[in-house]
Amino acid sequence: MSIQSEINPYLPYPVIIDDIIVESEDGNLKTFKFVFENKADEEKWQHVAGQFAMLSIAGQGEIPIGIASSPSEKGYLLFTVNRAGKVTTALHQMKIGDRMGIRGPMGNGFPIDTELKGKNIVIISGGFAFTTLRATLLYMLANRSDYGNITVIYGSRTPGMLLYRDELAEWAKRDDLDIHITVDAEAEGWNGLVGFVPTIAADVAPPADNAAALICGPPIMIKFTMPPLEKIGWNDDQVYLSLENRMKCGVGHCLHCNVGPTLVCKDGPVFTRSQVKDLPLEY
Amino acid sequence: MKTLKLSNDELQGWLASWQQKHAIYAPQLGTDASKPQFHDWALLDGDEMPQLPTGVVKNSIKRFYLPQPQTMGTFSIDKRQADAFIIKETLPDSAKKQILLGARPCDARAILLKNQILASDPYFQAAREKNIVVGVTCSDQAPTCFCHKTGASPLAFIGMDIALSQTDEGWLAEIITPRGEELAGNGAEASEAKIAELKEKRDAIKQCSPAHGFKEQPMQEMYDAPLWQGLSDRCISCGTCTFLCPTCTCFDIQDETSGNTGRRIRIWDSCMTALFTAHTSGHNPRGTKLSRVRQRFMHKLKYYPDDYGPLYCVGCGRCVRDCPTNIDIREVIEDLQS
Repeated sequence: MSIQSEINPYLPYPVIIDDIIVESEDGNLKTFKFVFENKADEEKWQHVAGQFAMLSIAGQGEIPIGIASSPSEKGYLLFTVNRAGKVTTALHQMKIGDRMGIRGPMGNGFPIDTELKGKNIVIISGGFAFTTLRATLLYMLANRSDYGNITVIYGSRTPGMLLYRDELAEWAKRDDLDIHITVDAEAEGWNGLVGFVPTIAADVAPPADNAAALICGPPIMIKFTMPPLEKIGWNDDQVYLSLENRMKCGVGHCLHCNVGPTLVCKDGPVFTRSQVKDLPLEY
Repeated sequence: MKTLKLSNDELQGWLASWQQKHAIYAPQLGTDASKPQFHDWALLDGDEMPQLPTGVVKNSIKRFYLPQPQTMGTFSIDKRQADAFIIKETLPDSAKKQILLGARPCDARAILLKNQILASDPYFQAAREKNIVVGVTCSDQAPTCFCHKTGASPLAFIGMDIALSQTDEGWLAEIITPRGEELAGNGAEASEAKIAELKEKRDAIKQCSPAHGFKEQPMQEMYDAPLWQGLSDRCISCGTCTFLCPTCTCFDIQDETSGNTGRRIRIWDSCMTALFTAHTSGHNPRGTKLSRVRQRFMHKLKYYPDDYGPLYCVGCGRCVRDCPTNIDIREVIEDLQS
């Protein structure tokens, strides 16, 4: 006898891979565009920038990945995935038209419609952590009048490792956005900024008044970005970070992702820096 | 609540009638003489009330709520099939009831504590529907039992549908839930005196404050306590404590395939293993044994109580009894209190 539950957070929505974009020169970063197979599922799906979802490949398993598309982009979802383990490797081998599943959205996301409204925003990111910040930026641009000045500082090792290069070029042309793209070292054909993200941040970070910073990147980048911000008056309540931990369920049941009393999947992944500082160093 | 007085024969009559309709699981002594002999849960063949040892049996009843494994869904990986790669839900059949006979108060309570975490888990909820708990209260405690120090009592009926308490002449059966009512057979109402006697015994059991004051103790202070080093020096990361623990719920999800079909299963996992938190990058937030030993105790004594109130330990003492290096959670509690 088969029974169907009304809401089963473990059942993925069936999706079809609609497009695959190779993002990085080493081929390890690809953006997958998914469309829902069932219209009803698409209508049910409501996410906030900064949330994540479980990408689910029957027979391979599931992985939690930040949602790279903005809620303002309708009809599809984007995820940029680094090839690293079993499931991501399987995903990288899949083709346009293949079916898989998505569970979510999960977590809290950035407080983009609440605390961040009316504020000057600075987005600071390094490497492939830019994904949910792309979602955030697009959402803010779609609702531009809700926010003050927007500054973006984004860096990667080489020009070829930057994500969303076409969009970066488009954003650079806008006059309602202050964008600084940097690479670690001089490279042929690169006319932009050269230097690590913290160095650039020290030069271009906006004043702390009525402002919030969203920082995603490697821990070392976050560590060295904070002192220059603090020097010009930023405090830990204004700084939003996104944590990642190993997780299996994404809905607070499996208890893999706890950092002390906090579950990254349910209470996070977005925390203010002051919240993070109160947690044990288990992330 | 109705309390009935039953003779051994009458209780056996109830069992015989339950056998007609339901599967009954009860603690029984293993029959294979070549294996170590201990009581554990098994399907009950006859209609005789099983002999329960003092204290708890080897495993708790959690395996009936979080089966090893739980099939969460099935799927085809044959691309020619129209439904390939779509996961089809396989919930436990909650209409087909089964009876857990002889569950102790600690085990019954553990399910309710788990329910705080798994309230929105459809598989666990279906299992709660499916399992009817006919518990047996403890007239004696084993040396490793300490439920009375975790805010519970060896005579408690919380989490049971029917609670059986042994008396000199037979049994008192307290019918606690509508499901218990449906299941209960005929029997004479117990006398006021008998009911008062049981109540008196219950009142006599001293209960400690449920959270041991750990709620007031600063998290960082407990986290940095010196005792974790000594405990982790002894721990061999075997995970026995987590698997035997009636409250431990952590699980892993895995896909299994055979030919063109497969299933997604969930299996018990243990925070005592390094892989539990290992990132694919190689980074491991709890890469040291100390951090893992601390995690298990902090979850039970601090993180859970902060969220839900009671300790996430029901005092069954299984981890105390079976830890190969004699780590004793009762000592950990005392150390943290002092």
